[in-house]
Amino acid sequence: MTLPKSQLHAAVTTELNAAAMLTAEIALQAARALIGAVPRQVRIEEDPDWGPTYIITLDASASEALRINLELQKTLPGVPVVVEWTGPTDISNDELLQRLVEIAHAGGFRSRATGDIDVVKEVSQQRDRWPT
Amino acid sequence: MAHLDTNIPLSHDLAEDPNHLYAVQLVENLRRRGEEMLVSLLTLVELYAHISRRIGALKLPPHYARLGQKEKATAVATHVLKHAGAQPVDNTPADHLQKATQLAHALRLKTLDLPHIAYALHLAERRHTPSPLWTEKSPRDETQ
Repeated sequence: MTLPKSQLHAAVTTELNAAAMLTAEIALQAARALIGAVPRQVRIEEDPDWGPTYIITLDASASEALRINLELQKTLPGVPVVVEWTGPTDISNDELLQRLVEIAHAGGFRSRATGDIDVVKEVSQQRDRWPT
Repeated sequence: MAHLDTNIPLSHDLAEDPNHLYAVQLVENLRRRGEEMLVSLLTLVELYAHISRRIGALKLPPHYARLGQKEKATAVATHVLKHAGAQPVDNTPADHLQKATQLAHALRLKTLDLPHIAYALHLAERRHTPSPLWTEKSPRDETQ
């Protein structure tokens, strides 16, 4: 049975969102359904900070891979998806950085502080205002 | 138009910070009012300094793994501003330092506080409307 594209996306998204135990094969099918192309490889890495992280390798240029990464991350907020590429890196380092920020932002990923943090105190210390 | 002090976008982004919820509320209020949120060059310097010193103690999004250490700090700083919806503005630091020297006697603040105030006043003069300097105040500040 072939599902309409919208239903397929919904099904894949649901599956990926509940995907703590997702297998590489399911992830490959999901990536194929979402991207509309066959990835060279999909692997899952267990990140100690972010949980299962889906690393998708495409035979594409950097700009195309990052465009797809943004699309995937918008579709799958909260599910870490990193797209790598085997083709040319056809963008500058500055643009690469800006695009990665956009992708992380679209997925709702932000840096997390470890240990004690008190921004007011630390910024004040930078201004030599806080008693040490 | 509002000038965000350095700790606002940082607290807004870092959920572990004790003032995070306050910063979120403040930014949301400014957004609802349609205020343009700006940060000065001095704030950018403080932002980069803070992040660069802390980068080893931050868990970064997995998307940044391919970046070098310097680029990671830049990505975090860019992300912090993007998340808050704050825009860096081009301005002339020399003018604000000059203004800061004129404010020093009246305000008697620490050195780096003065250019922030000078910048907020500059924005207010540009728009001919009051332009508050949005900052977080730790309870411990009250004792100083």
